[in-house]
Amino acid sequence: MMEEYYAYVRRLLRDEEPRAGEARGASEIYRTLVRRQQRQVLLLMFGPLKQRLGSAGFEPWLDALREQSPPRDANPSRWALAAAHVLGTLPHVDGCTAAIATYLALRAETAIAEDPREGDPLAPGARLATFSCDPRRGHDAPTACGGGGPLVLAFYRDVDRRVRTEALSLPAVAAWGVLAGEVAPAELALRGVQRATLQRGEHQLRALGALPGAGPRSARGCDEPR
Amino acid sequence: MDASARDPFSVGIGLRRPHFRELLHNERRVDFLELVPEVFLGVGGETRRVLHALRERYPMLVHGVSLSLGGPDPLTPRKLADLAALCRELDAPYYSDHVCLSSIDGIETFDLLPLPFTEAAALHVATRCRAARERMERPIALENITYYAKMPGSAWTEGQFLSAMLEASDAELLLDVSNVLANAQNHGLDPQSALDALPLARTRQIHLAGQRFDSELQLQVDDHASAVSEASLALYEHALRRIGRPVPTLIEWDQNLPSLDALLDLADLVRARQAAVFEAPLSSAATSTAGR
Repeated sequence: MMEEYYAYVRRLLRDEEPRAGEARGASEIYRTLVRRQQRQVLLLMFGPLKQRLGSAGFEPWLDALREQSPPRDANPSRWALAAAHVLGTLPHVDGCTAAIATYLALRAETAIAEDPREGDPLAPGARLATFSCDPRRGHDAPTACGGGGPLVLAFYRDVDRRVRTEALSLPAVAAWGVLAGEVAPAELALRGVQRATLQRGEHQLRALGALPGAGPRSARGCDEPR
Repeated sequence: MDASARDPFSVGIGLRRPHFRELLHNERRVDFLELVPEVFLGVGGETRRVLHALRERYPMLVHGVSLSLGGPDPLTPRKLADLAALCRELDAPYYSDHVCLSSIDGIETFDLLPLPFTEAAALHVATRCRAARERMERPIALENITYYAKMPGSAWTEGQFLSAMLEASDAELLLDVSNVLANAQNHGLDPQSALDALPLARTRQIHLAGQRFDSELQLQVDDHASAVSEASLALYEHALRRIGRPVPTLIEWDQNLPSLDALLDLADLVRARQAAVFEAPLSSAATSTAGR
């Protein structure tokens, strides 16, 4: 009995015309509502990416993401990984790094909004407090991922407790994600981020005074890509 | 920890990020906070610390949006375990979600799709609800949602459907009074009659929210973006009279979020309306930590 209903919902989500006996109005209402909700969530998550790609690049990306298999919950990190999958299919964006950067940017904006003064560490061992895109700097600003993804700036207190702002490389962003426990190394590995990349990122973070200690910490548990 | 056990006229607000800091230092009365667990699953750092600090000040309720009890996808043990862990962490006395489909074939709709009002759908939800409750080891309350159109195959009224589903699942009702009003307005029903047809004896909690008329859809839409209307409040009073006892009530306001003060003014108003129904004076307790 439920299979007929599920078939109806699947057709609705695929934008198919309603069949005989199915109310056209109901399909249109829910198509509109679902699209609105998905768009709202995606804009919330990936507003900075829109700034970077512009509407011409962002709208097709939204459509592409809708057609994929987004995660089961509204957890931003899972959305970021789903977005990475889709972004990776687009020729002009380095998918994984762009998505991670966007995700961290989202977190950064949140953290800054919560308390811009405190700069409290987000994870043991990391003194990075926040990351943020800075769309005001436009395309001439130094990019963090080779001209592909969004610009990522780090706002943080360094090991001497000074507030600093630095443009980050994407290896540094990825390494921060792992150190902060926000991105699983295995998930990065599955998407082609190599252990050496994370180690490079850690070196860069130390050079920026963002991590304590003399030598680079190991990128725990990150396997080579399969 | 149950808000209803502490104060008969209990009114809470949704925990929303812009209010985090203010709530940490708030001195006004807040009977409980309700949070959306999907926002916090797997999130650590400063956000987690704030959540724990808030938990020390306020009772917490957990209201999910993605269990999709009416859907076809299996309930994953990992998801249920994560939700249960969060409920334990926050000492939430029960878990609530919606009577709906919110994902299918792994695709998240981000909208709550109504189910067909049929016996098969009621039994399907009930079976999954019992399984979720067993796994999460705590009671479950299910919310009536807005249905902007009846789904194909519907043979029952919403009241018949919800009654059968809650009976079969032995779950409780999270009565969204504003949803009842919107459904009545959109389908040409009498709001009080529509409400009376619901299994009100099972009511564990009430939701009130703002709505607006959507000119594109030509429907009253439950958008949680404004104050609760007088029509909703009037129906709320009717609901309380029918239920016959005070019920913990949440004000849902998710978009165009007002200041915390404005939200708490509304909470005070709702608390006073609830007290007036039972002709009882409000408690003089004015601190946000009452009952903890």
